Amino acid sequence: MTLRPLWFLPVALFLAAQSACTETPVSLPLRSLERSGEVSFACVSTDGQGAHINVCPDFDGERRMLALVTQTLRGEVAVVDLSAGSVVDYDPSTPGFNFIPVGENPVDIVTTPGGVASFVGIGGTGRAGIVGLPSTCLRRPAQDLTTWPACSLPKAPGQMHVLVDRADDQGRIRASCDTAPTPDAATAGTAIAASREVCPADLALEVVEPGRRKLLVEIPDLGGIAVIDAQELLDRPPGSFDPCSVERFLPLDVQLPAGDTLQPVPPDLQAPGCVAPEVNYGPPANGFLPRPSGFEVADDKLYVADLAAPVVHVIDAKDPCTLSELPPLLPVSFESRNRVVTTRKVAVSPPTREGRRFLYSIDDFEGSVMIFDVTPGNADRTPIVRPGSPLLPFEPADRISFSSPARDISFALRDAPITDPQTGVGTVGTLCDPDPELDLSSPAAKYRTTLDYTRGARPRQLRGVFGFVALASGQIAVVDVEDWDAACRRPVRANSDPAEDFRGCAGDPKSPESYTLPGDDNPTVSVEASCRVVEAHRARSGSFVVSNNQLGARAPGIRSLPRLRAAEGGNLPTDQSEEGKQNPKLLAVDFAAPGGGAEPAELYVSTNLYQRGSPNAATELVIEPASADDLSLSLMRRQPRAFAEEDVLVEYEGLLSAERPAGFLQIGAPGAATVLRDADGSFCNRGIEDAALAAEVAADMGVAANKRAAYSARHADYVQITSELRAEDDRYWTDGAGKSCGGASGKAAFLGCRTDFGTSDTPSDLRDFRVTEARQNELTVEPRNAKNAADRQSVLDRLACCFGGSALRYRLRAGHQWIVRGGRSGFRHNVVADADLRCIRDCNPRRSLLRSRILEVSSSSCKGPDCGIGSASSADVACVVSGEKALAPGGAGAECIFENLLYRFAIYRGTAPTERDMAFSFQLIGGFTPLVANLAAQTAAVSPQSMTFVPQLGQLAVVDGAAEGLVLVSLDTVGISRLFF
Amino acid sequence: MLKLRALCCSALLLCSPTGCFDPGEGVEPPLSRIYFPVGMAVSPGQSRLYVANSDFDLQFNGGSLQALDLERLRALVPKACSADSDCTSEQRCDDEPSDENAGVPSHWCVAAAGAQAGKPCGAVGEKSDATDVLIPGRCAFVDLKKPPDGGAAILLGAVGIGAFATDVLYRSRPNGPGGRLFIPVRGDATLHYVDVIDDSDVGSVPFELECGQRENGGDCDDRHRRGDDPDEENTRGLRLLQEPFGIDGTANGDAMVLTHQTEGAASLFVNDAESWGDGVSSFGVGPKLEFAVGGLPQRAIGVAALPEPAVVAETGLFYQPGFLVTFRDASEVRLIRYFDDAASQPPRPFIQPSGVANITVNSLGFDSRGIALDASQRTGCEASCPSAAGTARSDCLNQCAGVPLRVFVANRTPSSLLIGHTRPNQSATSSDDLPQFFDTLALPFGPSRVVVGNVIDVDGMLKPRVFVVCFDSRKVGVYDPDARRIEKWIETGRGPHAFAVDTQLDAGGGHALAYVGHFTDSFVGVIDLDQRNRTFGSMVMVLGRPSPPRASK
Repeated sequence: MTLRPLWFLPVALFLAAQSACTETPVSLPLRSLERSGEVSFACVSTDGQGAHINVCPDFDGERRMLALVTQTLRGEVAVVDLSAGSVVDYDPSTPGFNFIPVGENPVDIVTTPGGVASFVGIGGTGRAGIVGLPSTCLRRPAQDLTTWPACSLPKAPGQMHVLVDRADDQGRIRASCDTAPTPDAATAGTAIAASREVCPADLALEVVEPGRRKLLVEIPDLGGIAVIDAQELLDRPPGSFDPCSVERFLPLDVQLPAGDTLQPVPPDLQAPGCVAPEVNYGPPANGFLPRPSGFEVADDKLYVADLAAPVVHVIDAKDPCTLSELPPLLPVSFESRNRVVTTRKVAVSPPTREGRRFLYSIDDFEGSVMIFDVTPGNADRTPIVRPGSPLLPFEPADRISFSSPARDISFALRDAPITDPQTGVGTVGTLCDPDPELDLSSPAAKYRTTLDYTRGARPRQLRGVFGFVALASGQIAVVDVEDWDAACRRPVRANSDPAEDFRGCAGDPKSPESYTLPGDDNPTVSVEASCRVVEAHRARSGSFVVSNNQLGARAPGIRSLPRLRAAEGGNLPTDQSEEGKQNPKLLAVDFAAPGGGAEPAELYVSTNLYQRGSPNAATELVIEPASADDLSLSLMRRQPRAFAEEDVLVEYEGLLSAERPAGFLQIGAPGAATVLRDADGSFCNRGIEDAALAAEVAADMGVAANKRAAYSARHADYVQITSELRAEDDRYWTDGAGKSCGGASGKAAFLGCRTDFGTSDTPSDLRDFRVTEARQNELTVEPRNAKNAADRQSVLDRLACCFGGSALRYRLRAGHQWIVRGGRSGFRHNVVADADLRCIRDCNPRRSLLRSRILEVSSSSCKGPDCGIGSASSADVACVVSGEKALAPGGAGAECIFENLLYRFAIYRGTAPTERDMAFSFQLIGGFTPLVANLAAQTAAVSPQSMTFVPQLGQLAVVDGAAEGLVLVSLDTVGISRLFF
Repeated sequence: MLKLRALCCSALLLCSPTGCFDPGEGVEPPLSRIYFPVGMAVSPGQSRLYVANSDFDLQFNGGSLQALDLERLRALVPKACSADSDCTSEQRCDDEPSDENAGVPSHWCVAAAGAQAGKPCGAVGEKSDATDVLIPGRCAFVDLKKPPDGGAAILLGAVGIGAFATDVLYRSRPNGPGGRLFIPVRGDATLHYVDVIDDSDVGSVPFELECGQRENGGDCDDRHRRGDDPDEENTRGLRLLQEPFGIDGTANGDAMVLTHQTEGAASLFVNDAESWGDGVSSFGVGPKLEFAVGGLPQRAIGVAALPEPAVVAETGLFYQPGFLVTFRDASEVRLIRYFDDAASQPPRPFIQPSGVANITVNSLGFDSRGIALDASQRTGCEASCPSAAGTARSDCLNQCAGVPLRVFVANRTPSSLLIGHTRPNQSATSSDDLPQFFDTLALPFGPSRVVVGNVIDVDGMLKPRVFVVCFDSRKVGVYDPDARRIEKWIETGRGPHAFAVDTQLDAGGGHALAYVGHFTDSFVGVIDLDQRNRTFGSMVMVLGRPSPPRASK
């Protein structure tokens, strides 16, 4: 044994001690950009000469692509060298980052196409104008404000754009709008600024898109657009700030077109007597003053959003010197027809394969996005009302709405063409084709989703035309405009019938019946749960709507089979045991097949598909009440966007909404109406069904006319008073109105009231009041369990003296029926307030699927403890069937099958009476996850200000007003690729 | 700055659990000194500026409330000019570089002759360069008691109040002369009230400030500190919860809601006829603490009363006044309703949460501070209704009740101004009055307070603006709600917080000023809000001697 190796022990101990004491240094990134606003891109050679934007990025290092970002707080422009990947500090010798000073409140920035100069609009009070930034001086050393040529404007500018006054056929251009075209004006070196020693700028050097560069400048306060010659501005003496030479000024016109404004409505939203094929908004009101708030040029037309007038101006911009206004687009709101709709920001899509163009504009009032069809030749001038809206009743039919208001919008056309092996050519715009007969080597077949879901048509594969919406919350949402892979994103089963099946499929070709390859049954589609995974002008899915072991539970489904909860808590059995038969059952019902007949009920439970009649006993869905041991339901997968993960309760006499804190009961004279008033009650919005609405339901269900009153009395909603009595020792019982309650005083009065009304935990049925008439802010009620007028008056008198005139807590409950309530979605209904605030049923088909009330099915013939369906009582006037068979489409009692936006099932009564607050519960999973790029993933301090698609980079550039500065979002991954702050 | 923050944190830690102010002993606060100002209010007739000082560093045994003479103050503000003709015959316009203006013309009227000839700041003198970094503006400070012109003092009166006041609210007496100031005080967890004149009322009360101070050594007496006497004030045995912070009240002051910055609660004070007195023979018993509602998100901060639509009072509609409350710990705004419980015997007024508006316009959205409402569009609508009583007027007023209010909230995750509106009402009585936020505007760090007021634009018209005060970054943003942009960033000194607007148009052109209470350096800055002037958006006067907090000296 030797001791020599121990020499290192002290050293090791020392090192260990050192490392234990050393903290890992925290590296805090230094943020240089501050309150960034807008961005413009310039391609500049290393010697400062501008180059056309399309020759950047340049991987040879001869040219740099610069992002010029306005700094709104500091009145500067920051320059980000995208080629070097860094923010440029113009004076490294001065602490902090030093940028280009331009003046107070920079509003917007634009760069000429050839990159020779950029222009910044500044909006300081009394110091509004435009500053020219020659690219030759975008290099170090730092320049001060007096370096830049500038001109002043009478009011602050808004958005700007560079438009080219094109050269004529002989290459001649106009030096100004008021001169004739000459060859000289196109000659490089003739401009004053061209020969300047410091910061020269010669726009004649821009040979791509030849012509004179004109600045189009919005002047919001003046309601118009100014045209300013860019070279003339650059030619001004540096540091000067004389008034701009406005060559043309187009005052925007808000003389709306005469005649009615009509908005076409798709067939699925039309209803005779309720919604006409066209919504008529009447003749548009005039008298608005324009305030331009963002524009975009497409097809030689300038589209201008307006923050003050209900128009999107359309301007013929073929010649910037003769701008003229065309008939405007007319923003309206299908949901809120009296609202004056104004807009901020517009974007125009690239043409689709059919040559269609769409304009998106942000509704200023709510931050949603309207869609206009601006395809040449299209006459409709109102927002598109999208078909399929009844399946998405919470999104406006004529708007794309998001969880947070939109801040900016942009479009991109993208493809990754696959080369055709026969021609050797990769064609942009090839559609994915799922036809099993197609040659597998053809490009259209190669775009299909692969079996392992890693390639081909998939959520993050953006092939086609897409919209991007920057949300105020810091997310970039993706909208499908034209997805060239859409045909391959669907279920395997085809439906050639024009009527939709429960998967949302309809009108498929007769052949094939199934999108699988003939040989091996491998699918040629993505096997998603719905045919509406990809829809034009709707949010794009962020994941496959598929449930399997590979991808997890992504299709609409439930986590585990439903359970029944007792009123007082704890689970109840629902199997075929004696005790189980006493309890009600929630069971799936077969789907109605589009061509008639039935399709077997099915349901995803986690990743397993349960089906009625499945050969696998483990996944067989038993729907017969007389034999089912498990509870079940079916999900309607027509529209995956309608699903949200949540806990769902189906509750007997359940609550329509949370307890209300303060209602005032006004008890009239004997025989007069008793009214519960609550200014914030919003009773119609909560879906209350009074006696009249209950009678309507009875009529719809085919209840005989002479039984509707009984139905209405039994099933109208009711108010349950939940207030506690005043405390036993409260002065109310000795000095207040309670001192003679029931002929007693003090404690005796209190005890008498408690005996009659119970407590909020153990309420007596004297606390229940049927709603005979409902209005938005008041309910006419009557005691629910009183037998005659005298009884009713007695209850009311007693209530008055026991509770006094103070505000009452109360709940709204459904009468002898089950209701569905989602943890997030709440109680869905189609009750609205009419002009007189009376609660009525909304006849608009958009809300037709918002149903949440279920009558339980009872049997007229089945008696005794072994019945599959509990027996009907004399009070039951609807949903009484003979026997104990499950309900089926078109069969007896089919009107009692519950089907709404999401669910399809029936509830069968047990042999024991159903009790209030019994509830079936299940957890909804899967559905639809929108595709978003989350800027807040890096830091929560995010506030997107503007967004633009940079085709040269294939990325979105998002300017963040908070901590992130300039963010580049890759469209390959739909995620952040680079950050510059 | 770090020391100051440490001091603030220490003070908060010491005070937050129970309230640490003992008004009995210690050095009396110098009542004429602006000292950590936290709240300011302009009287309805615009003749008084009330400043609540908080004694934040506990140097004294309490804070103070001061009444300043705004007419004197405005007379001392330099007059902007563009030519000599804009000035009096003894003055000229300082529009050319000169030795007197150190080569930088002020564009103010200056003395044409005499010792102060050509000097932009006159007898006040120019600030030293050394103070330029911390105190913006050109001129040195103006003493409240000895203004530089040798005229009457600007300070009209002052009283001692508890330490750690947080705000001040003015309400006119509804059925008599005079008005009343309400001041939440964290130190002793009370609501102070001080009777004052109502300068919009001809026959007002015979004192400047009255809170029993004459018999109490200059400090408000116990009778004027409410919320600490459960037996007298309410039937519920309530005492005001700790750390009252924000305050707002109905237009006639019958209900006032206070937030509590360390709890999820808000309190209700009620001013009934007994509370007010008639203002002649009796000045009432003061506001009564009636209720505290809990169960709100933690750290309630800002509160704003919803203005009652005119149709309610005119037609006697069923209506419960509402308040919007912001929170530091929740990304939401709560609507709280006031119930007078008049039908009950005995009535016991209360407040109840009535709705929630989630903030979805920011990435996180919690840590909201100040909130302000702009009812100018609705009141404009109401003003345009027929003046003769009748169906036409009531129909018109009913329509106007549906005009949404603009809502503005200062939020810090990230720093931003939230812009929204209340939802259009279905009727005057059936409204949820909840805001819906549709836009957010990025701000520099530390927005704390939002105030709605007017500026005078270049055409000499009053135009509404939203002023958002950014405490940490020493800036006040002037937001144009019509153009939807910040039109001006006002540079301030350290710790701007309290803010009041004083704008009026008259035959002489009117005035447009704002007063910024600088918490850190204890002075009030006067800001020019007249866009016709070159000094628009800049500090034109410093009121009170700036003094850095002790910890940073």
